Amino acid sequence: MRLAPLLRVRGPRRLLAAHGTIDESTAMAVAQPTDELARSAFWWTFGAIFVMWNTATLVGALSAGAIGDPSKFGLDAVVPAAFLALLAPRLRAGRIERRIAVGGAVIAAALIPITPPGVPVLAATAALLLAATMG
Amino acid sequence: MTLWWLVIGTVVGCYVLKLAGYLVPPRVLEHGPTRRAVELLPVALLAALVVVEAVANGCQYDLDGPRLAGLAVAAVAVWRRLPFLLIIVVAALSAALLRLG
Repeated sequence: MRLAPLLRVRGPRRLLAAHGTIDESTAMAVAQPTDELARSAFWWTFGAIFVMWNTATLVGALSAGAIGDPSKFGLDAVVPAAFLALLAPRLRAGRIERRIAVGGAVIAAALIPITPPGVPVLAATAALLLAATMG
Repeated sequence: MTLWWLVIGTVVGCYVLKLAGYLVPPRVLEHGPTRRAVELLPVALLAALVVVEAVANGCQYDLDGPRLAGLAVAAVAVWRRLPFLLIIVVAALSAALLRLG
């Protein structure tokens, strides 16, 4: 929904756009100053990730056993670091953004031990969406 | 076999959800409060993801020193406005170096 007015795709191309709508292409698209650049960023990110993701999956499936424990390379720290880097520009955008971020973090942290994996993130997002639309 | 049906069901569900976003009429999206909510949604989502990825392992808290140190170094890098790739590299390097010992 965030991307639809930006990309303005019509007809059958929407089927492809839907497949390409992932965290990375969305982040790249919304970070661009103009709609023109946003469209370009979306399609190129989608294309690059589609190719690299599938190639790397194939390579990994064939040879990952040789590497051993991925946390040895600090890869587990990369995931939260990447999300934090994506969040940063929004934190600088205003006080409401910062309050929502703190709220989301607190709700998610509180739910970790009492709900199945995945639920904390969804619940935090839903709760704040509700609060934002009512406030 | 049941697992495969679950996988297929999830795949179809995710795709339909993404497609739905493009099928919403533009008029709905230009509506002020909807627009605001859609803009704020990723903020809550990303903040929650940072926390869950940092301190959770399944349903348990998992406070891993090197991982948290990597995230702390990344936070400083974000604050200093380093480029995205550099942030990722310093996070991984800090965690990896701490695990060497």
